[in-house]
Amino acid sequence: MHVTRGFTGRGRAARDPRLPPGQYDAHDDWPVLNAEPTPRLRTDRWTFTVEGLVGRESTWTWDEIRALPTSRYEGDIHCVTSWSKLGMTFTGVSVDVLLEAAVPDPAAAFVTAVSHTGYTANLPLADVRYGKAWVVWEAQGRELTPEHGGPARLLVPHLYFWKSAKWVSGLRLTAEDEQGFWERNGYHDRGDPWREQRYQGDD
Amino acid sequence: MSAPGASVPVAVGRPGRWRVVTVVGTRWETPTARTLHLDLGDPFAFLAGQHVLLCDEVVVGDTLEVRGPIGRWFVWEGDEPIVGVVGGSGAVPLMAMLRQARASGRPDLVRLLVSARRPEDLYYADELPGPESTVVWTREAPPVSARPPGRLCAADLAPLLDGGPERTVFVCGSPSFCDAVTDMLAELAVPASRVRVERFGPSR
Repeated sequence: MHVTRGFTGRGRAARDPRLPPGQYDAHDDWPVLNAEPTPRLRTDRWTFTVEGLVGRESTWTWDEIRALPTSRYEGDIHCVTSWSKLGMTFTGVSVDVLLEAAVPDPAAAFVTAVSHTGYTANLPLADVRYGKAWVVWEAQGRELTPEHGGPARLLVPHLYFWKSAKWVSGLRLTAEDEQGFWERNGYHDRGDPWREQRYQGDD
Repeated sequence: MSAPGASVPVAVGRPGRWRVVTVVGTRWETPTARTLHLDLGDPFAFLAGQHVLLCDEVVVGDTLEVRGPIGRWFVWEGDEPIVGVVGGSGAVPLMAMLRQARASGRPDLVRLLVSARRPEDLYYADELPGPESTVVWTREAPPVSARPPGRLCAADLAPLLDGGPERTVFVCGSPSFCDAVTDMLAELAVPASRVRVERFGPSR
């Protein structure tokens, strides 16, 4: 088919193998994309709750969650709008630690990440277990700023970054997949960047 | 295309769910931004922006592939009163809404506040003016403007929010513009749940 002039060349420079298909390296830029006003949350009123299909609904205050054993993620993140950032560092608590306290029901198969703003994102439960997801309050060695989801956001770096809900307030475990904010509005239910699962209908 | 304001991914040579559209017209909006008029079989569809390839390379008769629309959030269903507050090329989705409001005989549903640096930077300079829209000039105002040039402030916003039902507010522009406007809206006691924001992302 006819190819429009100008859409062919981005040079033939070697492509970083850490970049999934259709992504580019944003280097020093960390773009901010959100669909609602940036909330100014106070940590003295902040809570995080794991609820739904769990044996023991559990809530942590800011001081309580900060007292849990911390862990770090070092690696890449990928936004569906096509930027990626390579070699990022985040510090927080593994979602495994939070789920262990709440005791997921065997029937739980999906999770909805909920934010203090009302934003939601749905994920298979398996995508937030066994070392794949964190609640983080530090990025690149600094406190997470409000525009990047501070005081704390979810981090699920192996999926497109809209799944890593900013201003996260909890996880709700369910038996069925219930679409979140962007998923209802046309984006993919899982969002694997290596399979380019950007929009509803992508394989 | 469904509701005005939605965005569409554009590509060339993509298989599957992408549909082929023809560029039937183009129009320069500013020295660096151009609108493409696409034939989608619907009354009208416009693609606007400053993407260098879209601006410099595409000519009438070219075919592009699009899919979607996606992001059914920053859209207007055409029946509720709204306010738009936009900066620079952030005018694009709100102009689509205003066009539809005028076409359906309900221009009263849309109130639009546009922030532009100077007259040559204004998008849709011919199409925008009307009782629905106000332009705030930040650096240089035309001689007819009563307001001296300066950054948009809460006093510019307040009159748009007055009177009648509570309106959903659509904010579109650069990240710093959007943050400044949403902070002003919070000051003016507009609940966050009535505010929808679209920030310019990086475009590649």
